[in-house]
Parts: sequence; C-alpha cells; structure tokens
Amino acid sequence: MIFNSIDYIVFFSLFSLVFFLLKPKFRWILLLTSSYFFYMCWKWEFIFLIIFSTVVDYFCGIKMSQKSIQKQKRPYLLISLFSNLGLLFFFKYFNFFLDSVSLVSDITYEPLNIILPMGISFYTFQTMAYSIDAYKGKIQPETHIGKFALYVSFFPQLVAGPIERANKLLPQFQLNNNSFKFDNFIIGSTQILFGLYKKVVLADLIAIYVESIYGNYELYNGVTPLFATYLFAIQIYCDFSGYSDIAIGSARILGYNLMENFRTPYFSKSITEFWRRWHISLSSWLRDYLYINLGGNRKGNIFTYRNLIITMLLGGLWHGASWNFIIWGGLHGLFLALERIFNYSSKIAKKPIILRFISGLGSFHLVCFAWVFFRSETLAKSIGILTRIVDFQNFFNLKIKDINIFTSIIFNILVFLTLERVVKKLIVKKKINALETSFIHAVLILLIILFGVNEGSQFIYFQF
Amino acid sequence: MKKGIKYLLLLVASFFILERTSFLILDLLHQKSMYGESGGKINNLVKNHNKTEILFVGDSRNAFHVNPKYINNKCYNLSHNGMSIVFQTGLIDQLLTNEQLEIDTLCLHVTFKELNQIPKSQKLDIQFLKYYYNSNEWIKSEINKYLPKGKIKFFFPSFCWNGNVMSIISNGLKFKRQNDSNNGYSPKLPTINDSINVIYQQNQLNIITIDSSKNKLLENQMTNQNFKKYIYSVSQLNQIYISHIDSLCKKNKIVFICYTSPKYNRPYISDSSKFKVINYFKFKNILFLDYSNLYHQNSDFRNINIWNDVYHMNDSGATIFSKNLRKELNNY
Repeated sequence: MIFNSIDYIVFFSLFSLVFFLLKPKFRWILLLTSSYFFYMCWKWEFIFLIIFSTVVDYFCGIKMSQKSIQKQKRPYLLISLFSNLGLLFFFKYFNFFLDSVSLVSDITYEPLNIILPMGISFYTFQTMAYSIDAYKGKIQPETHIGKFALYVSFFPQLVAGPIERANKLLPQFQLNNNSFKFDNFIIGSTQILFGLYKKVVLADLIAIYVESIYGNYELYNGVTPLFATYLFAIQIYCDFSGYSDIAIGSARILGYNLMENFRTPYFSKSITEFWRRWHISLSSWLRDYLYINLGGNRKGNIFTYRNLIITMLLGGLWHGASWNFIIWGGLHGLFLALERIFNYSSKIAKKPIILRFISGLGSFHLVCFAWVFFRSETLAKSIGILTRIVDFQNFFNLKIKDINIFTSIIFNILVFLTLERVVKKLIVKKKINALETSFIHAVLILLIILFGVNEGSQFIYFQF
Repeated sequence: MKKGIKYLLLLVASFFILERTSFLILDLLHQKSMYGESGGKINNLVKNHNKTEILFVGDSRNAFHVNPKYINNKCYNLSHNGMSIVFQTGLIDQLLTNEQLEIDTLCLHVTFKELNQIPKSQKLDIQFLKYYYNSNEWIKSEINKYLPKGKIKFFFPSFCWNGNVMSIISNGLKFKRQNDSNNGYSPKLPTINDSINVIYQQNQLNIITIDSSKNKLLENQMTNQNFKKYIYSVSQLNQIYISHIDSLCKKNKIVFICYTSPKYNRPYISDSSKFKVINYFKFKNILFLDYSNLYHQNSDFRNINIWNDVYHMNDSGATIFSKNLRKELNNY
C-alpha cells in the first residue's frame, strides 16, 4: 500500500474513524496493528525484521537504563548498533560490497538475490538514534514494549521518514489524549492533498520527461539534458517532500506532530543552508550522531573539513549501494568544506539581495550538478550526460518529445509555486477559513484528477 | 461540528462547480478539436471523412509510413503513436459501433513482436480512449479490466480528460501544428539530428560507448549478432482483439487487412519464423500483407536517407512505401 493510491485513502479514512471512536488507552494497539498491516501489504515476511529491530533495541534500552556507568552500558549500545547496521549491511550493501571487492581483486562472485526491505534505512536509523540517546542518557528508555514498537513502526513515517527522535515522538504516544480537532483535520488534509498533488502530478509527470531524456541521453545536447536535470531537481523535491507532506498530514489528523522535513531548499543561498532545509530529519541525524561523534568542529579546521566530507560520503552511501551515491555525497561534502574554509555561508547572508540571489542561483546549479550523479545509474552515464550538457556547439537545441507533457509540467510548476505560498500560509499561520480552505482542497482534487499520472508509481525514497 | 459541516458543504459545492465547469469547457474544446491524437484526428475523420474508402489504423509506424495522398484521395490515416492493438481495437469499436463510420477497407498495422505478446504496460493503452468510457461498452470493460480502481476514478466525470488537458486546449483552440494534414498523415521530415544518423555516426566513429541496456540491444540487433531465431505466433489475447475487429468488419461489410511495415537493417524474418502468424490469418480469412522484409527485398529501402530511425521512415520513405502499398491494394 502506497500513499498515492486509493487503497491508502480508504485505509486511512477507516482507520481514522475507528481511531477516534476507540478509547484513548487502546489506541496504541490499533496504531501498532495498523502499522504492521500497512507494512505487510508490501511483503509480509519483512515485518519480522522490524520486530527483530524492535525487540533488540527495546531490550538494549531497558538494560542501559539499569546501568549507571557508561562502560556497563556500552555492550548494549554495541549490540543495538551491530544488529541494526548488520541488517542494513546485509540487505542493502552486501552485493555492493562483493562487487567492489571483485573490482580490486581477482575474486569472482555470484550476487545474492536480496530484496531490499522497504524503509529499512529509515527505521534502523530511527532505532539507532534511540539507542545512542539512551546510552548518552538523553532519554529515559521506553518500558512499554508496545509503545516502543509503535515508535519504530508508526505507519505514516515508517517507510520514508521523517526520521523521528525518541524524545519527540515517544512522549506523544504516552500522552493518550488525542481527540479529534477540526483544525488538525484541516491542516492535515491540506498537507495530504498538497503532498499528493506534488507526487502524482508534478513528480510523476516530470519523471516521464526526465526518463525520456536520461534514458536516451546520447541523442541530446546542451539545453535539453540541462533542462532535464533542472526538472529532475524539481521531481525529486516534489516526490520526497510530497511523501513527507502526506506522512506529516496523516499524523497531524491523528493528533501527532512529526518534524518538518523540507523548507523550500532550492531557495537556499549556499550549500550549507541547503542542507539545513533539505531532508532535515536525515541531515540533523547525520550531524548529531555522525559528524559530532567524529569530532565535529572541535578538533581544528582540517578535522572539521575531514568530518564534513566523511559525513556526507556516508550520507551518500545511506541513499543507496552505488558509487554514484557516494560521489553525490562526496561532492556535497566537498562543497560544504569549501564553504567552511571561506566562511561563505555566514558572509553571504550579510550581502545585498542581488548577490544573495546570484549565490542562490549558483548553489542551485551545484546541487543540480550533484543530482546528475544521483539520477544516473552509472558513472559513465553521469559523465556522458555532463559532456552532452557542455556541448556548446549545439547548446540551444531544445528538443521537446511530448508537447502535451511538457506544457502540463510548465503549467503545473506555475500552479505549484502559487499554491505553495497559500498552503504554507494556511499550515504555518494556522489561518483556517472554511471557504478558502474548501476552495483550495477542491482545486487540488481537481488538478489531481485532471493531471495526475495513474500508474501508482513508487516514491523515489522508498528504495533507500 | 458546525465548522465541519460548513467546510464539507463548501468543499462539495466548490468542487462540483469547478469539476462541472472544467468538464464542460474541455468537452467543448474536445469536440472542436480537429488535430492531434487526443481525439482531434478521430473528430476530423468522423466529421469530415465519414465516407472513407480505406482507413489505416496503427501506431507511429503506420503514422509515418502511410501517406494517404499516394493511395487515393478517399483514404485516411488514423494513427496514434505508441498505441498497442488494445487501443486500436477500442478505437475501431468506437468508430464502427458508435460513430457509424462508413468505410470500405480497414488496414490495421501490426508487428510480429506485438502479435506474439503485448507487454503488460501496453494493455493500459486503452485508457487513452477514456473520453469514450461512458459511451462505449467495450472500451469501458477493457479499462475496468486494466486500470486499477478504474470504476472509482470514473466517478468523477472529468477523469475522462485526465492526461490530455493541455493537448485538448491547444488542439481545441486550433493551434495547428506545422505537419498536421487533413488526411491524418503527419510526415517526419528528415533532419541531420535524426536518431538513425546519430546512432550510426556514433557507432562508426565510436565516440560514445552506448551504455544503456536498450541501446546495447539495439546495437546487437543492428549488427545481427546474438539475435535468436524466433517463432512468432498470435497470442490468445491478440486473437481476441483481432477476432473482435474482424467480427465488427464482417458486420459492417468492411474488408479487413492486416499489414506489417519494414525496419532498417534488422534481421530477415524467415518463413519458418512467421508461419504460425500467416496460418492464423489464413485460417481467419483475413488478408495479411507482410512488408517486414522489404529492407532485404527492395534496394530502395536500404537507402539510409529515407529513414528517421531504425523503426520509422521519413517522408521520403513514406512516399515510396505508400506507392508500393497502393500497387498491392489495387490487386484486391
């Protein structure tokens, strides 16, 4: 079951109805069983991985709370980290590891037929954060195994985040006092509809266009692959932030607050700012649990740059088992380190608006440059596309394969830019006007009906 | 509670007004549209060519290979790029059942590969006829078969314009494209950027390693390497579609012809590879004109300058092919 399906709308409507009819103290049971059901709709066998991760981290958390000395807690932290990273390594990186080994040695191997469990990168990172926080004494480990299991598997954010912190989400499950609130319903449903619009209209329409260019990049030069790369930047933003919007909106209707995951990242004036506004739950996770533990900026400049690059390299690897993702992460690490050397991010914030605009444009192009590696399946293809983009002999030869899709994309990007302001105003300022809200909802539903792509495609981040 | 009811009533009212308005505007524009593949070509045929001697139906290869001008002036090329036989069957059903089109001969472009098996994704091509969902029972039943939750989606009448909005607007407002003609033919004019030139230039000069699996396959097939001999047949599903068209033609006393067209530098399809297909058409008493080997049989078709890519000829190629086709059709 995916968010952009009628199945989810039916599931969530029925679930919400029963949720609010049920006595608050029993709601966690409904939430947990529904979350497991939601996940099992994909492949039921993989629920055992979530249960395994839950049991191990629950046990380790409890054990750590019983020890007062860090040294005594450490074995349990290691058990938690090894089991989560072990799962991740086996299911996500094992074949890639063997492939890389065979590249530098004479070893030949037969790749294992491993299916990547949906959302494994998200829930393992969430549970690892819990164990590290418990080890550091930042949180009191959860004693109720059911509610802890719910923290691991809460269906709105189970498969693609936001990666929630225990100190923010667990207390919400403990409170048990959610009642139906009209404002929550309006804000939540606005986010769901806007997220659906971003996914099934913008991201899926653009995907058709981008695939037609990236799939046959040998045939295009200059502005055509360049434009496709700009569009891919919009596609991945709409795809992933669309998912986050649906997740946050669904949780909001139920009375739970999930963290904001995107804050108009392409309007950033620097790469440093971009990472404060793109996939916030992951970037803050990497900062808190990796960058700071590597030493952060406490050990001098050289170590700071090294730590930034390592963090981003691993951040790239988190996205997928491929050298292209590592290069993507490495490029971002390099950009961040360079900005750090020149203290660029804070300097540009004080510059006049025109310079900030130019800087924003430059940052967007650096991000797009890195997206080429993210989007291409192989390094050869990335280089091929970049070579084609800088073919200045035939640069201004924009080829549009399907004018209907192209004009639909342009029209919907304009609609999106207009609607985003209106929707943000409604969500952030919580200005609920029944007439205005119902009109926005009607417009969004109509746009989805008229322009939505019907095939029920997966979200890009499900593969991570 | 009061707020909720107010919101719900306003939502229903505003959605109803918006949905009805957009449906009616798009419906009007669709009816006015005479160009393009979002119903325009069909409207043009129904309104301006209701008495057609030969109607050519098929995908892009039919679109670019058959110029009705060279066959006779009462021909129409009703092609829809990339559309499989499922779509073509629905289209023919609509034309013969609902539109009462008067035609003498129906020529359906087929390929051996497609007859052998329709890819799963192409079964969904029928949804591109969704503006006939409520008026054509055959199309409705096929869409319900292949489109997930189709019945629910069509609860909203505007869904029948899904995916076609911009083309209906542009065609309805008569933004005629340069290449649109009145007989449905859209010529592919040769340019130096045609993929046939690009691919061959790259192969000859070896500038770029073509690394996508699709192009590797293409490369192999072009050089006739690793190309397995295959015995084609007509799949059960295709038999259903062809039988449906055949029965519609018989009912309307229309001569039904299936034909194939050539490809550039692709392996020769031997008689032993295609005997099952030929026997099927013989058994069904359907005329089958096979031009799949024309590249090997006629030197005119080996001229790279008449090709746009491996599968499609350009306007010059269409002229030669159409004249060839006319000679053959004159025999029947």
